[in-house]
Amino acid sequence: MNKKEKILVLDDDPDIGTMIKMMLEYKGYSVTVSDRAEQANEILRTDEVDLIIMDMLLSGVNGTDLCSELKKDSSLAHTPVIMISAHPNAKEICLQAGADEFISKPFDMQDILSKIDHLIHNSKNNGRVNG
Amino acid sequence: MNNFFRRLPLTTKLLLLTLFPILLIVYLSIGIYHEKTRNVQLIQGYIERIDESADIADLIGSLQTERRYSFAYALKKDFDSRTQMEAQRPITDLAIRKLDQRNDSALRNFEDYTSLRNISGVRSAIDRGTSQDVVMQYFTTAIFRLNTLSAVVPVSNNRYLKPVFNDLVTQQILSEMATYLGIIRSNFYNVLYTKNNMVGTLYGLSGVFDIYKSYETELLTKASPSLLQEYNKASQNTALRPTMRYIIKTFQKLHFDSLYDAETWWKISADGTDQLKNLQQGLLRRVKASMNVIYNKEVLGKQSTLAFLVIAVVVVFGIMLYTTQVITQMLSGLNEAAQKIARGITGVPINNVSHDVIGSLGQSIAKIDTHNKQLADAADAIGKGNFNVPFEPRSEVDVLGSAIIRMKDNLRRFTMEIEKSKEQFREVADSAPVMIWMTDENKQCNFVNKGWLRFTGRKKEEELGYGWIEGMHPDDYARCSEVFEDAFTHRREYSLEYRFRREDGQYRWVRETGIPRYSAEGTFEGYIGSCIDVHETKMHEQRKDDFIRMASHELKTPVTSIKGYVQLLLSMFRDYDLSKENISSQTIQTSLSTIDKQIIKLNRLMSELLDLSRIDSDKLELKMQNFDLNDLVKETVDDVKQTTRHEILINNRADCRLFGDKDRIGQVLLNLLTNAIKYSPKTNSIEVNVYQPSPHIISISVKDHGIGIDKKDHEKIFERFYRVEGKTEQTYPGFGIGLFIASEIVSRHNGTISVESEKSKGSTFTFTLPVAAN
Repeated sequence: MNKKEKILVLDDDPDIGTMIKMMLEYKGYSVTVSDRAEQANEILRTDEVDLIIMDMLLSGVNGTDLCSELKKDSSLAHTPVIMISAHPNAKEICLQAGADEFISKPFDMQDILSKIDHLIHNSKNNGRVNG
Repeated sequence: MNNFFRRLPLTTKLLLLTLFPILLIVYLSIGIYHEKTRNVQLIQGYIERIDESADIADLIGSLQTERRYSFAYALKKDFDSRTQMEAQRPITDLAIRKLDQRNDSALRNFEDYTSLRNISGVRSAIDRGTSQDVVMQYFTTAIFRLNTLSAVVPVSNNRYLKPVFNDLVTQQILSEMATYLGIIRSNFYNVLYTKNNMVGTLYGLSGVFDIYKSYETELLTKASPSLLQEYNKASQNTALRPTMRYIIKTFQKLHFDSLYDAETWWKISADGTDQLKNLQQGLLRRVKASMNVIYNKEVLGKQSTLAFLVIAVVVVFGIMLYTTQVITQMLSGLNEAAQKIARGITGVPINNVSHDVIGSLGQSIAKIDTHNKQLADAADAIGKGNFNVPFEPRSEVDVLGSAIIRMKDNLRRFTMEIEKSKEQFREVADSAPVMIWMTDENKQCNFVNKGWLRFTGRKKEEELGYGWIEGMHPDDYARCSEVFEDAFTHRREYSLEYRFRREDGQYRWVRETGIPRYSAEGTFEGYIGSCIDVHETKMHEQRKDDFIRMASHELKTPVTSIKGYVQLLLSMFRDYDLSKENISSQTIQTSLSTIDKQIIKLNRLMSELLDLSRIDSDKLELKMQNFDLNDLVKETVDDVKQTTRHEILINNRADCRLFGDKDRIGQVLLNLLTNAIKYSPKTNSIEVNVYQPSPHIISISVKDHGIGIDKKDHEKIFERFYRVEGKTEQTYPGFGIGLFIASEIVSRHNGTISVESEKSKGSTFTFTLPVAAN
């Protein structure tokens, strides 16, 4: 692991954003946290992000809207997106919006880590094959 | 017999009616015809007899002529007489044969009776030269006998012979006269020729001459004037005159003078005698002609009778047939009309002008028809609800008319009862606090009550048919239409909810229930149903659903945080054991303080839920006590200050003690402060004012400079589950039941809670409480 994989975390609750950041940093990822969708767009355009974790509800643009927007953008479409929400029945809406994975709140740490690892791995393999 | 006659068909009856006169006419006519026929036969018989007499007269004439020539020949034996005699003989024979051929019983064996059978013997004797006396004797006897055979026996009272009676008698007299004159002149000729026995002959002849004269007298008495005229003419102008003068003079003188020689006399007296014969034959011809006229007249009469008979029968029969036909026609016309009436037809035309029992029958039938029409019209009018139709029974015994009157009265009463019950239904329907509607069997709305019209604010005409659908929310139409169509097709009850436009333009949720309705006979007549405004309930339920969804989200968020930190810490400690790596104390502190914060938040949420549950079950208990309000405000604000960057200023202008649940009132203030902080993210100052607007009331207000609340939401924010909607506000966590709990607590202290706010200009929440009595 020469280079740290970059993960963008979007959650309108700062406590949860911080918690996820600490969790992932502890596991060696480079993490950026934001609670606003507009900000996320800026970060995505300047930095190279390997994976996005976002809450379904965000300040400003809705999480699902942002997700479908990203998946339409050819330069960002390949970046895996994990959506999280405490809402019941949110899974379907999120997957429809183009999310690669959905994790319901409250989530299990092992669960989210293995999904992140899996998605990043897949994405890299695909990138190598394609690149 | 009477019954038998009644049962006969009408035509037969009428035939029987006319049969008797016809038979009488036929009988009488046949009698007349027979009479006529008999008359004709009688006349025929007379004519035959007259013909026969004519034949006898012919024969007598022939015999007189033959007697003349035979007498002359017997006297003179000369050639001329013989020639004349032989020429006459076949003529005489012909006359005998002619009479012989008349196959008449009266003439049977007349040849024996008249001695004509041995005429050929006499002729032979004459030819051999017998004396003139024998000749005279033979022929004269034969002529006499023939005269007695004359068939016609004139009877003066025979009406057919009356016109010819005189002529018949006269011709017989003339015949006799000619016979006697023949005897006289033959004897005169004999005397003049022989010049012998003059006086003896005259004596012998005087008797004959007397007979002649008596016949002449009879002639003059009985002859018709025309014949008398002819006779006189012949006596004056013909050879009869010199003949008679010579005979009369000779009998007067009893001496034959030398005026005529034998031949001259023969000639003159022959002429004279022929005059009588001519008269006689003329008469006979006239008689025959008259008889023929009579005969023809009688034949015509007979034929007329036959014709009359035939015509009479035909006419009577014709009249009878015509009458029968007319009567039958009239009756069958009436029968047809009566049958039509029996089938129930009215307005049947009845043309009948006869002034008899049939005409009267026609009028009666026409009257029945008119009455039927009146009854039908009356029943029609009554059926249409016109109970004032003028209608009276025809008489006291008019069963049908009375029944109609009774029917009218009963219908009027039933109709009034139905109207009354309809009115009651309408009243009930109109005063019912629900919207009631009905459709017909084709799904078209045909009734809405006043409640409906009050709701939609439209006119009844606008709602009927499919008009009411305009009020339905367009998004609900397809769904409702499907449910309704399905229920309607299967005649099932249904219930559905949709948004329906109220008079103020607001779409309100209504619950519609429809059930099929049937007539008393079980015919499907459409649907009846009601609509109830369930908007509030619906909204409440929706808010409750939203609340539950939101509550689970709100509860999961701190749990997520706590679970995440705990798992991170566990993971770190596990790794610490294994790899002996250093654990960041910063991480541990952040984790634990966040866990603590989230547990406080979780606790507050659970408290709110418990309060809500207590309020719902009416078990929110207050621990009433006296306490100092200022102390409570200060304690609460101090607590809040520890957790926020916001400045909280207390303006205390009242100093009082309250009697109430200190913790609960603190909870109210805390809630207002927490809200003020939460909804003013971009400003920092919050003011708490405590003041007394009146001696018995204390007011506590919390003022912020935050996002504010729209005026339309001011009342609703105190309702249960109400949260100001909108994307930006959604991110403010919490159940949104804080204000509801606060208002419940305040109202249980007999206080009030209110808000003053404008969008983006901050809010001021104020609650008042009554001051404690002491």
